[in-house]
Amino acid sequence: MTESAAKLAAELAGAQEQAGRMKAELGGVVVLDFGGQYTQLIARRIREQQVFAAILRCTAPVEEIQKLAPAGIVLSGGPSSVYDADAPKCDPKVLALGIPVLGICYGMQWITHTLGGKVEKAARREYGRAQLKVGCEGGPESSALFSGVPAALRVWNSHGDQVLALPPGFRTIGMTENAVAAVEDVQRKIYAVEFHPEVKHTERGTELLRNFLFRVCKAEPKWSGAAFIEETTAAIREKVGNKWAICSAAAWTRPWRPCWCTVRWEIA
Amino acid sequence: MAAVLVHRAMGNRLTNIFVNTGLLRKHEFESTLEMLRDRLKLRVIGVDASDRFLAQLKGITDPEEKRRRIGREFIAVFAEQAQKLQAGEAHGEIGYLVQGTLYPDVIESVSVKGPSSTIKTHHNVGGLPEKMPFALIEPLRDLFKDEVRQIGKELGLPAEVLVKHPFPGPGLAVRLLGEVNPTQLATLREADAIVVEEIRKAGFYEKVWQAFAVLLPIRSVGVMGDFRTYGQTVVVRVVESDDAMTADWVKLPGEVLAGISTRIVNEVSGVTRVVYDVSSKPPSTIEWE
Repeated sequence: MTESAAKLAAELAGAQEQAGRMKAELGGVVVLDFGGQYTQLIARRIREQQVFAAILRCTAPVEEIQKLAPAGIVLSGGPSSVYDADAPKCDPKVLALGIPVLGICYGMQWITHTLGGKVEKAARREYGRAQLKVGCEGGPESSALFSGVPAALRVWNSHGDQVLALPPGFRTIGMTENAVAAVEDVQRKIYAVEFHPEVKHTERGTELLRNFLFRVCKAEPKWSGAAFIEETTAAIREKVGNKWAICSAAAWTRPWRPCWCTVRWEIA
Repeated sequence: MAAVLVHRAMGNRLTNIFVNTGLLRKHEFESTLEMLRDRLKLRVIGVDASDRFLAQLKGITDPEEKRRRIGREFIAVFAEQAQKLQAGEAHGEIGYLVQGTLYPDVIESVSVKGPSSTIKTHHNVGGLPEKMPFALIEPLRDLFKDEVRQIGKELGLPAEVLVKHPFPGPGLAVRLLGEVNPTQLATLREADAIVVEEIRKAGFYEKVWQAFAVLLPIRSVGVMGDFRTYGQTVVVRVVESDDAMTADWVKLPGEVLAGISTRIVNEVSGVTRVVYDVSSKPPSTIEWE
């Protein structure tokens, strides 16, 4: 190994250690949280596909995101309107990292607003069930996101704002009765949907997420229980050296908070 | 879980401290020690501090005060044991405290810094770190609850550990309204054991989130044999839930309830009445105090 390569390797190792991340967690997906009620569910669905998902607050600096070397970024939904004075924002650089992005609900509105499109309060708000017509020229197969799914889907909505005009470079790939429901910019690999693919009520939602993960992001399904155990024990071994550790076993009775956490005495 | 994982990494340099608060369920101290020591092969110090806790709780009826006192005593006992270990066998080498924090806990703390609408502060270390400068090991902090269960399976944990119902830190003290004393604890312990036994027998244990008894110091009239009795009330609480945030009472078959009721009134002295709690969370909570 040349000197500079060795230096680079050391730097990379340092960066990984600094982020406290394991190999199986790198190359996953970062979910940026706009405060949506389904943010954790998004992470769940992604992990079910054996791709690690980490939730970061939407204000996370780009460097923090890059430390995870994500294959993709998902922008969550959220309760705000992009026109609210205190509307949550990401660093717009997130959209220029060359990493594929999927915006969901508020995430879609924020992308549209930030890249020069137009978002407005919807004349007809959509909550709950809606019918999605996958509508790009060439049918569903021509958009990576809708690959392999039928041209009409029952989807689950929860939004009061909607996209009126697309930012330059985008095209509509799905409509509900009242609104633009899905858009893409293939060049920049930015996708966005108004509905919630992560909830069970959205038909084929998991497939849409899989399409994003494996067709768009080219993520590797390498996050598994066995990998977790192996890497965690190795990391602990390295971290503790010859030191000892203690653990409160009181909580053995409380399976999901097995250690010191029991001292929270929370009202279950 | 966290302990098993860390044990796998560092063997017997991880010591578990298990405190008997005197507020555990029937046979729980012994059976937990046995599970940890003999089946999971962990290194455990078992401390029976029942008397200390009972002394602290004497005459106390306010639920918050009960919790506070138990929490304080718990930390005191834990810290004493840790110091003893540090001064003895560990030769000053204890550097870490293992904690079973899960992903949702981390997220809640993270959200505080962002503009998320779910703002919550999170504190689960109960005042310990200020006194004892240990670094934390939180091996589960990136996992969700059911992922933890999956990992538990892969670690080869026995099924009974994986499906065990949650139990509050202050134990039976918050399931026994009014003053906590040895007599009341014994009554509740017996009634609780019957509830769990019957629920298991009926095949409901693994389907429900929690099943337990609560003892109310409310006396009502009964008749046993030819005598009028005047005894306390046991509440049976069985709930289903995914995450304890919301919960609903379980519509148990009448015969299961009947079995529980008959056994409690017959086998637990001082109890004349059994009632079933049919409240959901919200607006009620799972526990009574």
